[in-house]
Amino acid sequence: MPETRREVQQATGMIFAQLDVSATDAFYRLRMHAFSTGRSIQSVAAGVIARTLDFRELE
Amino acid sequence: MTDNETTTVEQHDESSPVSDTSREMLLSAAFVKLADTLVDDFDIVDLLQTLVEECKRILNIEAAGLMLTNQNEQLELVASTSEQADLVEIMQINAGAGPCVDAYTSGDPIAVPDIAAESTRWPAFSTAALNQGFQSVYATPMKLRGRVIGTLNLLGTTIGAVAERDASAARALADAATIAILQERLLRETTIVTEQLNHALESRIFIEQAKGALAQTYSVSMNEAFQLLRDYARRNNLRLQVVAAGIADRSIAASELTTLA
Repeated sequence: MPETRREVQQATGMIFAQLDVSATDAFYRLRMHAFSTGRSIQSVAAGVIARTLDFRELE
Repeated sequence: MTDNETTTVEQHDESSPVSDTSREMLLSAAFVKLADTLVDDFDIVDLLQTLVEECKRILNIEAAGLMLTNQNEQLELVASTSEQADLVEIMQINAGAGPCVDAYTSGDPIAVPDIAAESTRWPAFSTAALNQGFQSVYATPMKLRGRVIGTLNLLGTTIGAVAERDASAARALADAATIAILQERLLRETTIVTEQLNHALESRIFIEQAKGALAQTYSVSMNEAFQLLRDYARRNNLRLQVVAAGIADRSIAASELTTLA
């Protein structure tokens, strides 16, 4: 779904800025978090964009 | 004292159409602007962004979105007059079942003067559009040598057919952009149009990531983040994609975007 893909990319950018990591790493962490919490990547991305999930707090 | 300023609906002011003369001048200027983007290091995303913004400025419409097909023959939003989720969502639904995808598959423009009247034809699209205050839509295909490569979509907040002169102006602008894509293809000496479309769509990945980085850094919305990105690109005479890629590799610091020249 193109729309959710946009959100995943935006969330990747937010994590990139939160953690000062590369965009590739940011996306990797997004995916890992989705995997480890049993959620979809899209749902984790939506949480990041809504600012209910901050990856700095997960470190 | 009531806080009535908070209830003000954010809407584009010019409800009175621009005069014919100034409109012709604006339209000519738009074509010159499009032609200007075709010089050496021209970028397709910049061009398409210019196109939708000029549409909104010149034509009597409220919003515009441009979609190109990806490898899977799905339409993806490449440029829109607002990056706000509501418009993006409408366009995405539109790409699944709506006038946008119909214009794409038929190769003909689709005029919908009253979206509410099409609630059985396109239920999800009608609901989403009406919820955001859009009442009419005009979708025109972007054709390249008989092949449809995307659509240009104009959304209005009043019921009624898009004026023929606006429709023909929109078609002309869409044609100009389509020729530009062909031009880019020649410049790059690649053999398939698909690659050019992919290039445009891939550019969006960096732009979306950069928006996220700026939204995080400045605590702003994705729409405001996009404005920051574009303002910086314009101030420095850089392509959007170059700035987005610069943010991704940190050669441009997100935190300094508003202070750097």
